[in-house]
Amino acid sequence: MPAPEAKGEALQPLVEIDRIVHEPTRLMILAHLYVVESADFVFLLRQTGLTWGNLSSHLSKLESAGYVDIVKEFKGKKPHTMLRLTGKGRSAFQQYRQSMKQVLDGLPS
Amino acid sequence: MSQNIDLKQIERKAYTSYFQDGFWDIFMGLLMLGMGINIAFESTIWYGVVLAIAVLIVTVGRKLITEPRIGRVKFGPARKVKQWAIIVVLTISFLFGIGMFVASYYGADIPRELMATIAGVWFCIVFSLMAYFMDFSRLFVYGLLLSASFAIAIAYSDTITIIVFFASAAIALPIGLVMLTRFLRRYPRLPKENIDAGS
Repeated sequence: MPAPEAKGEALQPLVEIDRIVHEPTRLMILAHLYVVESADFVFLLRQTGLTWGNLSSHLSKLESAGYVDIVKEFKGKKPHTMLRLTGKGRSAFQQYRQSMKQVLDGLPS
Repeated sequence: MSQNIDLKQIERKAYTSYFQDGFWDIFMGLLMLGMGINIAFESTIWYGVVLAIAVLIVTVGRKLITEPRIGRVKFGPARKVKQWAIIVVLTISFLFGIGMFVASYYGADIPRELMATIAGVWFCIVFSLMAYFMDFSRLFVYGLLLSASFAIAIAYSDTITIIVFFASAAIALPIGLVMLTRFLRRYPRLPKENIDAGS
């Protein structure tokens, strides 16, 4: 059995986990934005199955953290808003995946 | 936890959600219907008309029905490469089709068997490549259905060929219409104020 210090060391990445990414709904949103270049609100709504308010509130948190960028563009003559992961958001998601993998791989099966 | 996030699967699911609207099935059904009409009326013009209607239905339908319901997305670099591959396949197949049409229109004496064999193999290759690049497996089936129809055209009379093309269309069109109906039920149009709030 590993010493308590060693055990704590192994789980250290858990302490450093990004809590903004760690929340399941936000993780789902980030995963969907990670695999595309950009997507609109309706697309995320349909893919995640979240309610309008729920998605909106989580996107605001991700935007405040600098993880999601809101891009205004024109679709014909109508303005249209697309959402995309920022470089910071992409790195945070990758970092989160690595940390979780590291922790879970280290646990005895 | 993160190990269970299959990003490829998420991307594939997002991409293939655009094929739930049934427009591709309707397009394929109309394509086969057009071929049957082409042989029945011995006129390429009718085939062109049906094909133009099919293209119009898919283009307008996707813009006015699909996009407002499931949203808009720009896919990543890997998917863009596949989309370019599809454009290349379609361009080559279009140019090949034009070549065949011009050759037959200006009286090149191409035997019916040879023409049907070329068309059958051509459709099978084109639709298989498209099905692969689009991650849209039903296109494999439609490609095979078209090839089988051409194979029958070689072996049997025009009447049987027409029946086979119409029967193939009668398989694809209802599938498309049922999928479109299910799509409309599953994804009702979102209230405008919500869309405005989201954008």
